Amino acid sequence: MHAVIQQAMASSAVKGRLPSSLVAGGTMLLLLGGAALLAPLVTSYDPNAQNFDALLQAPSSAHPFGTDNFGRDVLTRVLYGAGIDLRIGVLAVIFPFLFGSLAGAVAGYSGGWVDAVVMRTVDVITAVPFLVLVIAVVAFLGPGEVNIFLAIGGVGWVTYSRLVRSEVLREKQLEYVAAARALGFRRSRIIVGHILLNAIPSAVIFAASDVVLIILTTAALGFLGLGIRPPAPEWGMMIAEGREFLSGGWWVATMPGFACMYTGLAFILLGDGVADLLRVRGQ
Amino acid sequence: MALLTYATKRVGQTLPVALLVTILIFLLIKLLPGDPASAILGDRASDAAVRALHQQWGLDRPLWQQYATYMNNLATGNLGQSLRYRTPVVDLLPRRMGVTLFLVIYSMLLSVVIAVPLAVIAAANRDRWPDQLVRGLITLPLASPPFWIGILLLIVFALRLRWFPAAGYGEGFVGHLRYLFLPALTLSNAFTAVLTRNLRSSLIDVQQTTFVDFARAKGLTYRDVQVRHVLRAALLPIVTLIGVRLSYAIGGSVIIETVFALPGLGSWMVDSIMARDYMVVQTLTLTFAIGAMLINLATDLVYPLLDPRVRMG
Repeated sequence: MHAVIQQAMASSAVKGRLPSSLVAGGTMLLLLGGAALLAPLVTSYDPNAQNFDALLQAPSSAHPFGTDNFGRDVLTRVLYGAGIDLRIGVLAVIFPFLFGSLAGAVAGYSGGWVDAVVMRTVDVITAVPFLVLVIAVVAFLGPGEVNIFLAIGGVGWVTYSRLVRSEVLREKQLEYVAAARALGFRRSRIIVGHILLNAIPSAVIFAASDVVLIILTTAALGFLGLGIRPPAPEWGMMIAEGREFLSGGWWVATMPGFACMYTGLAFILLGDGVADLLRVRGQ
Repeated sequence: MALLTYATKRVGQTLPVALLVTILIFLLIKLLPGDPASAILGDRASDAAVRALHQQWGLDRPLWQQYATYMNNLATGNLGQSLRYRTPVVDLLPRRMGVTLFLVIYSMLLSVVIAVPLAVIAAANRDRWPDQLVRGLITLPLASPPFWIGILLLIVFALRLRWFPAAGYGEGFVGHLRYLFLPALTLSNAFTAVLTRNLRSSLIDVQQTTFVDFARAKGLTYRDVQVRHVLRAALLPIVTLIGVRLSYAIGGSVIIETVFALPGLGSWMVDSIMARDYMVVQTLTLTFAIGAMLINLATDLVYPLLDPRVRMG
């Protein structure tokens, strides 16, 4: 039925309707993003306000996600945490996407030693397991948001280069490139204005799933104590803090994880939707 | 003969990359803010100690000479000293590596054991509810932090039901199997999801080929055809997946070992980061990288042996 679904989606997209997964993922993200932006209105608690009269309280109507070992409201911290994890996930994908795609396009179009240098660099970085290299880079640079961006940016661009390069190698053979060259267009204009535009959809589709990977990586760094500095309510760090109270306060460690899963599912749906949309456009 | 040429070529591709990886990992130490020797020894180190470390690593010499020293140390098995354990890294490495290898291989086997029936059920009930259920379920681990899944399993199966221990490596092979069950299950999730998805579509493709019709026409039962022909052919493309996913599993082990307090390479890396034991972090990063490269090389070399079409071609 997969093909049937795709056909149905194709026809619905042709009629100007959006794929349902795109709508579902987008709505989920708007809800979360809205709740994160309007967190001060959604909840009356302060994410870092300690309340020693309400330590490790189980979920209740006053605290739907319970309270942690400092009496902080877990729901409030999860909402404010969305501001951090979502922001890093979305911002940290920009550099790898732009730099990786451009490097891949230039390598694929130029060939020769430029291609060799770019692709050997890509090979070397992909040879080291992604998470190991990101952890190692952050370990040497030190924790903090800027260093998370540097580590993910420095390691994450390689996938985009691989993707875009293989697309460019295919596009390069097509007639419109020969036409552009015959018209005497500059190389930069042909690469950016023509080839890259046609080669980019696969990178866009990958970027949606890459956001999930980056959010999970950010949470992992926070969990290991290498991410954002406390007391900021970053999800991974909250899960790590809750590890000490797994028997007496399971909600402290589990609730932020549900938020993370929700966000991940939203981006996976969004990515599926974008893929359907671009595939239709491309045909 | 063609196989030998292929193997030589593939090994020949790996060696230069491995050499470049050592440069990348050597350069990690340059990411330390400020003077590396002071960063490693801490704020209270005496000037003499900092100078001694400069001397020992040749930090005052040009970069390429420092790299040459690094490579010379690697070649002679001098992988550095753990400041925390006061022991040469090379002495601690084998036992720790054993734990991580056990965990990673165990998780791969669990993935296969879980994914094969799931994919067979999904493919056999294509587009009906079992298929949709399986496809929905396998999306969850891809969206969730693995360490969080580990904590959920820990709460339910170790703390509440007390079926499995919450931490540690256990004694003997059976003990390892029991102690590492929850960590391996945690680590296996992502691969199970990817494997199920790929195997499902691979099964559906194979079911539509003519040799399956032929097997049915010969009078073989549905079950025989599924197991002996369809599953065998469908598993083949999955072998290449294993190489890629093992690399992810190695990365994931760093965090899962921390969750379950396992004495492997990953938890050692995290401990060393906390202790500012940078030499160890560097050596472990290299160990993980070499491990991942060897696994990728091995799967690429094994694949043509399994697939007769590649072997003859």
